[in-house]
Amino acid sequence: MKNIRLISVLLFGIFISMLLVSAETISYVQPDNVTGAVKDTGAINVIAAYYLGYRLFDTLFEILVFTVAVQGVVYLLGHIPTLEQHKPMREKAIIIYTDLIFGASLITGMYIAVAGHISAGGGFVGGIVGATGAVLVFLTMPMEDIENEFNHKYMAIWEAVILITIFILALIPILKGMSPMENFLPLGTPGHIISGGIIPIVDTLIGIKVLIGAVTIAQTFIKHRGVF
Amino acid sequence: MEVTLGFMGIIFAIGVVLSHNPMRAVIFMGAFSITMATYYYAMGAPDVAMAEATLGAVFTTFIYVVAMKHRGSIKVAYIRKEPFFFKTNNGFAGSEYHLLKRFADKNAMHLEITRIAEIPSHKDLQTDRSFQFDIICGGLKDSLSLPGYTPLPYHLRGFAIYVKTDSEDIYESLEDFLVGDVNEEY
Repeated sequence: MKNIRLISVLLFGIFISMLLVSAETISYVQPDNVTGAVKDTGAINVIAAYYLGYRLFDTLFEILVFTVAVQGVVYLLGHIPTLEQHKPMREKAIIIYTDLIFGASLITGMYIAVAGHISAGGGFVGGIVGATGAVLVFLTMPMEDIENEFNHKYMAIWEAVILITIFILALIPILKGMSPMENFLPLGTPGHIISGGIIPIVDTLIGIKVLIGAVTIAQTFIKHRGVF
Repeated sequence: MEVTLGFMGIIFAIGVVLSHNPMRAVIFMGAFSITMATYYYAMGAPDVAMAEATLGAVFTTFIYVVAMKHRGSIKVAYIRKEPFFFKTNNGFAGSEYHLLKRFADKNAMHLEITRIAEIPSHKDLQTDRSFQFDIICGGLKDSLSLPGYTPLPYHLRGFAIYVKTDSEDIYESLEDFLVGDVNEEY
């Protein structure tokens, strides 16, 4: 645990110092019009072009804020003793219905996240859509099953791994001699699912991260406060 | 269309502020979110509409509903004794009452308060079913012997709150509570 903390502090320090060193080369570009934005980033959804292209810097710290919020919920609710009896709804119809909805909402959420650069949506919304299905499933499952299937420990590790991956993706352009957070992958044909360079990759990662974070929040609330 | 949705939004927002029941306020907030999501969609911002619908209408509502509920209740029996525990015109008062109230609020629990006339005898505690309480208090000395109950001394020397030995959950958290932040304040 101590090592993880040290590594994360070091990584964050490296990230900030690299940013400071190359601060002069960060280009605060802005497109002249919508066509310009599509040409620059390869994403036909200009919203995605903005928050993952021109303003990736803002988005990185937005992700960090979300992580801190999740940690805060887990920490603050951890003081409340856990509920002895968690009373889920155990009616067959509800269980089958919520299971179906869970699968559908996970697929929809991931689609919204992956296709964020060619249609409306993006990682944040996609993650929450997936988490909504998970919340429905939580209402019908006993606490032990929830804890077995959505293990806190692994989820925390994956969240950290994804966060670090996104930060590294933002730093790789420096090695190639570009300014940080620039799109270093080929842009492809606008409108195709594989286009826009790193935008769909970062969108997918954000989607998984938000999904994990939101599920963690819901799970913590149910664990310490119970349902209904 | 936009004007209608805007007015609906305003009405729901006023509903949130004016409703006395928190649950009703949460429902109004969900309705407000859905209205606003439709409004954003009508204004040509599907991204924002999606975020508002999922976050505002579903996730936030769920979190509020779960956060508002009481987790359970603590059955408290008290012997009327000023200034420890007594009833006033508008509710209860007294040092032990405030202590327990703060403990219950901290753990999102509800106090179920019963008045008993005097310190229950050993026979009552062992046989009478109506003497099933989690906590017995009201200026009790810490040297009493109540079978099945353990005294928890607090900041006032010589006095104690009696907690049922079976309910370990309440006993441990109340002990932490009394040892922790309360004693530091006094």
